[in-house]
Amino acid sequence: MVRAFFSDAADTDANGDELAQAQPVCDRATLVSMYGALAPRVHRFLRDLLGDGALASDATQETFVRAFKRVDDLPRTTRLVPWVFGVARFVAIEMRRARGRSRRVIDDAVVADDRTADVRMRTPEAELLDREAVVVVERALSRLPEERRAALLLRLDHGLAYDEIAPLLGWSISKVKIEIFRAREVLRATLEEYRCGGRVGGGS
Amino acid sequence: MSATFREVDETMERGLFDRRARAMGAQGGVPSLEAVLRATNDEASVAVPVRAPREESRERSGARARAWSGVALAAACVIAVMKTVPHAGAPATIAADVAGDAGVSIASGATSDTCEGTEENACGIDPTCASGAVVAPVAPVAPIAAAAPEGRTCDAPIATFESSSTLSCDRDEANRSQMP
Repeated sequence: MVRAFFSDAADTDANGDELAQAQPVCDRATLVSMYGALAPRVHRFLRDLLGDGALASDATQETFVRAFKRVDDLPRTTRLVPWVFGVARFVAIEMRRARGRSRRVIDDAVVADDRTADVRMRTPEAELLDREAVVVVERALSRLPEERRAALLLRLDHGLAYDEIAPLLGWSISKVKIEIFRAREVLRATLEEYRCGGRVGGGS
Repeated sequence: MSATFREVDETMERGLFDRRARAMGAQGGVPSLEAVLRATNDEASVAVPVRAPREESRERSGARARAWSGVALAAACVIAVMKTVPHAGAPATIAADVAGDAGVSIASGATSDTCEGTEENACGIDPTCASGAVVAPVAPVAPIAAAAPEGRTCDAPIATFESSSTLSCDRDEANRSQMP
């Protein structure tokens, strides 16, 4: 069943690349037109960083408020999507400091509530696989420090390139590759535990 | 190079994340565009970070670390000075001060008791002055007073000694009279 996680990876591989590889013009109108596709991704990224759906909603709004204020002042060569994710991460850091959150807490209730009617349209097996994918990824993310988790999310979940992640996190490209490689090792280890034990880390 | 790296190694993980994203679907809680634009117009005065977020965070934490290092270094220096200075200098200084004060006070006391107000020559010539006030409280009175120039008298110390001896004698006699 674990192998089934990756069965349709090829047809979903381009999920994050459409936004990341396109180089839209940095202006307010472009950001408005991209909002529908970009906002859910930013919200998911913030929820993964903050571990709180409600807090992620506030952070998403704050992120785009700041983005709309600044987007017209950016150089024309700025990559819009990585820049928005950079603003989002800055907002997440501020909110975590304000709330005193030093460690990410996985809220399974939030994960369950976030599911929508889209799930009902798939087969029970696909739904089960997706649900288990949520559990495995959440558990793996909880084992990662914040910066490494952010790098892994930006790379695998949102499809940013290494040279886009590096300035966003203030790292060199080599360090970005190393951190993502180590994060992927944790992810693979978590998957291996799941395959051997059926459940990951005795999760609830 | 990075594309090749991703195609080879990241396919499985990306598929996992895609399944997860699909399961989470269109999450509730994403603010609408209208709400964001309204908030943008309402909060026009809020400052926006200009620099890259990571860069600013790192600069701030670096400055804070340097400040704490400076405070710790200064505290260590103060503690080191407080520990070393009293042990090294205090005993010698105190001993020297005691000796110096004692010497000065003894010499000045002898001079003031016997020849206060007189010139050094007079005290130096007179053997009674040099020998000290305790030895001759009464006998040298007349010669010193006679020899002293006008305006420089030794009356005050002599009167002091006489009065003190008188008082002590009176006190002794009074004590004797009260004894059975």
